[in-house]
Amino acid sequence: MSTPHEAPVLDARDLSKVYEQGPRRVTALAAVSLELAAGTWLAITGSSGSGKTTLLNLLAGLDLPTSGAVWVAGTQMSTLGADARTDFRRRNIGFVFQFFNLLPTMTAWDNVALPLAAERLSRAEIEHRTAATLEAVGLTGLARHRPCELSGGEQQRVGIARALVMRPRLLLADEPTGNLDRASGDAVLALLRGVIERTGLAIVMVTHSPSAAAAADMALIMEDGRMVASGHRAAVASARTATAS
Amino acid sequence: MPATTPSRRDARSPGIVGTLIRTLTFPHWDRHRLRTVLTVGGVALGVATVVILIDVGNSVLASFEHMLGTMAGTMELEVTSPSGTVDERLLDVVASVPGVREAAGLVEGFVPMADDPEESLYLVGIDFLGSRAWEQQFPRKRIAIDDELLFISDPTSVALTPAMAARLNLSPDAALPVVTPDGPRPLHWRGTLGDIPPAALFDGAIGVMDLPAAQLFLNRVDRLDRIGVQLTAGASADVVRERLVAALGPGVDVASPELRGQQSERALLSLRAMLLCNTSYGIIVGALIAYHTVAVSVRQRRRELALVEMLGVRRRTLFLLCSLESMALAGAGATLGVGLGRVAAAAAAGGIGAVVSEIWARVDVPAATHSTPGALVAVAIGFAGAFVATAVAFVGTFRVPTVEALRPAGIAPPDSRTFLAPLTLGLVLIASAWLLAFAPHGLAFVPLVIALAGTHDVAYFGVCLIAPALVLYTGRALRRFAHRSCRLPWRLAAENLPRAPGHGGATVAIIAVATGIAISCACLVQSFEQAWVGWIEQHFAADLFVGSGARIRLLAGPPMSPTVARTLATVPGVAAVEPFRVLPFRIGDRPTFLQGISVDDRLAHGGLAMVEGTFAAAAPALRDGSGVLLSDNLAVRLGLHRGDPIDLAVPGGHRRFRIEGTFIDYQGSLDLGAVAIATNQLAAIWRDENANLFRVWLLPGTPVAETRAAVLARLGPGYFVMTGSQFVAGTRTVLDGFFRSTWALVVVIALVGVVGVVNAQLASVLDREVEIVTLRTVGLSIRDLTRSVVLECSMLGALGGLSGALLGAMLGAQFLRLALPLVTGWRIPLELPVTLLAVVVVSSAAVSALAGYVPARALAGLGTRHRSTD
Repeated sequence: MSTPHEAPVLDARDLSKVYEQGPRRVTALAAVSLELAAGTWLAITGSSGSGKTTLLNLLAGLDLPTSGAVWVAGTQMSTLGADARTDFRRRNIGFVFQFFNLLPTMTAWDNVALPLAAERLSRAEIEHRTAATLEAVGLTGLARHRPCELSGGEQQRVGIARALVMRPRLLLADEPTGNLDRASGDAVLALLRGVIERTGLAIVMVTHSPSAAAAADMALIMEDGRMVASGHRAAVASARTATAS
Repeated sequence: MPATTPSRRDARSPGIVGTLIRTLTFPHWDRHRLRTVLTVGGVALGVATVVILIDVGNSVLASFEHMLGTMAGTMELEVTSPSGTVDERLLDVVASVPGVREAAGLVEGFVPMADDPEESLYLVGIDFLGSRAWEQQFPRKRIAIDDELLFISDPTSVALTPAMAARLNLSPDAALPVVTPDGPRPLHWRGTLGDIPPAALFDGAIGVMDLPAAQLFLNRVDRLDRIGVQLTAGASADVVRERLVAALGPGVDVASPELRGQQSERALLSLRAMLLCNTSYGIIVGALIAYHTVAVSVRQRRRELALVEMLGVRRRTLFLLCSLESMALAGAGATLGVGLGRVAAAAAAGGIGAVVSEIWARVDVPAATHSTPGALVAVAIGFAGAFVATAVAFVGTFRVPTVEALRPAGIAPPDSRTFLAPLTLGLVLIASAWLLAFAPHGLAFVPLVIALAGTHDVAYFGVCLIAPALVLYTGRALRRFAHRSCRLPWRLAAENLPRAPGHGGATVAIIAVATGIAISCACLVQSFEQAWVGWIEQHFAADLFVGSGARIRLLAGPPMSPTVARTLATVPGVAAVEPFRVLPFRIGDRPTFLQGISVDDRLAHGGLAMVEGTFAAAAPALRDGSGVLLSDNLAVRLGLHRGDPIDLAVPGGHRRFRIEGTFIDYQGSLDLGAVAIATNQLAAIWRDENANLFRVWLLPGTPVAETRAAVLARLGPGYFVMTGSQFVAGTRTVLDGFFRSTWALVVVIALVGVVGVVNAQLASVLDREVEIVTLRTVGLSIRDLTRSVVLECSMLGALGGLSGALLGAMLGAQFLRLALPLVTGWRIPLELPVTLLAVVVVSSAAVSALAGYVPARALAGLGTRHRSTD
């Protein structure tokens, strides 16, 4: 899914994940490979239990594959130790959650500034970047509000700001519009598109929503832990239509 | 917009830990104020428990050493006799030994006030006017005597402290009636003790007499309790000691006063063992509560920690954050605990001192001695408990994959195999308490206490390990049972019980440990009292008991001369007067007691409760002085049996006796044990005809109450006369006083347990906030929800109470069967406190139910609007 001349931001090869539940072995993911270039938006769709979230967790380095490997910006995640992986994730991967996962005791500002503080940047740098990122998502006026004082759409924009504040190469989004109304969802998708155009990062988005999937450039369809189709969104859609008919 | 690189780091960065403390920790504490207070309170209680026990134990020993040191003064050696007293003629022998500068004799004793028998006076007889040996303890210039000649010539002259004189409202030369062995006699206040070290002892209740007068007064003519020795400059204590031993011959000991202190401390062995065991319980409970409260606090924030890690904060940074939080709370709790503990120790020290005075040796504990190392140990336990809790809870938190932890309901069903290894290890640890059976008799104090406390501590740790498995398996069994029930609260409670065995297991462990300690203590107390009182009723019975002083003491009271017996015999209706004598005695360096028993009176009234031999068979050898009896506990500790020879110190040397049998004894020797000889032999060999207690037998049909009144009238003030039932009740009161510290500990432990349960249940219910709101949404009533939570909590409480009761009963049995014989030699049958067992199980369930009720009610009453898991 990347052009031959540019190094992919994300390169996953033959990813498999097998869970052992007592005597039973459950294959959550089987031999999934994908590549993603900078400035590309990939939507992963599939029914519940098809392995979407497992794939996302492997791509984020939150979980390690049973076999296969993931390279993000040329670095193989599984070769890193726990601390190095955490540092790498902080610097290179942003994560947006369906349920926002904002820290409830922190203000919007503090939530966004947290990864910068973990990076031990200077106070001035932290303030500059946090202000700029909040402005980019249109939340300057709500910076001192706590999550409980924000609407769902506003919370998700804080979540996106937090994911972007470290200027990552890759953004992983797990149903980013799944917990929002239509208008808020559309606003979030527009925001993500704007981010891609401004920064050139790559996005991998897991979604059930056809309208959210339609916002992406590329599509990957999963069933029972296997990748059944992938490519440009339009091509995948027509291939699926043809298969179905 | 390039990705952030490590090169952008700045030393002036605010720091992630500081940021997290400001944005996570402080708001968390603020949002969960009750739980924060409970955590601090839990650590404080744990630390306070340890501080109290250490300070109280130290206070008693320090006061004891202070008293001995104050009286010994500059004496470098002391001559004493294991047989009790030293022949006064030896004073000249001691003084003539090269290297001895001064030698001075001393007699001492406590005499009750005739007008107020509750108060007693510590009488010391020394040659303070003629000998310079006492110049440091009793400097002549600080003892004001108006007429020295009168003081010396009148054997009733005494020098008192101004405090004592003021307390008794005495005027100079006023009479102060005290009870001597020969009956009430007056002392006359003819001197005032100024600011001298001994004047501060016993709250000023000290009187100094001239040596010959005191000997007369205390019935110790020609005898001394000890001879103090000062050496010439440059003389070696070891060399002089050897010369003294050679000059004095057998039957006396020459040692430094410190050694006497050590011997006296040996007399307190069982008290020290009890206090140290209790301290170890305090340590367990303190550490457990510190662990539990902190662990719950960390576990409750599982999602939050996982999220922060996912955002790029290193795990070690998070661990540092959690540790700092725990240390801060532990610091606050420890500071509070040390303060609380010291206040409580100060309040309790006097009471414990009174118990020690009542039972073992007179000791004045005017104030608590606060031990800095003890406080540091307690604080270290608080911090260590909190740190271990943080580490374990942290590891547990991140054992769940970050992805799982981030899910709103990310709790996987527990895998029962996970709990098998801790279950097995826990059961092995509990069973290992019986390894104490392999401990040999005569074990030194430190290894003995380590063995005693260690086996119990390990068993309590074992129950902590098996608690999660108990919750899981019991919960699963209840779930099967509850499926048949149509009552929703039951079904919900049974469904929830095995869901988080670690969480529920922590609650069960706290309750089990607290109730286990309570039950094992109760087993000990009940068995002990039952055996003691039963023995008194069967083998120490009489119609009346007569003693000197205000009331019955566990050990012997002040001595009474044969004239008292003769007076008693003249009271109408009295059939027989049986003397009972107890003297301090030593076998080697082991403190014990010498009992004088009237063989014929004993034969006439049922003999003794014999373990080996019969009293009737032993009687002839006792009468002719060739045989003695040993109390069973002493025989056990010495490894001696009927028929064995035993060498005993007698005035002027040693003598070999044959052990004619062993007998059960509680009253006359306590845990130290006794050698019993016939009273005629005591008079012949030890020249002692006194008695500490008279058992009086009445003629058939004689009214007891009237005779008691007649005896009191005949003896005058300063004596107690009790009926048999009063004597038993009095003994029971003294025993209760002895075990009061144990019960106080149980109360503290119960409080700690309650804090733990409230904390755990509060956290557990708060964890299920979303679930409870969901259940409300689907139509469950507030009442049903509250009931289900309360039922679940009471199930946990009952499980903890039941396992604690079983463990406590087992440890109680182990203590009586193995530990008590090792410490005291006593072999006491187990009496299970059945009622208490039932009460403990029910009250554990009730306390847990109450602990769950308040948060359950609050949560069940929440609106049904959807609450974000954030």
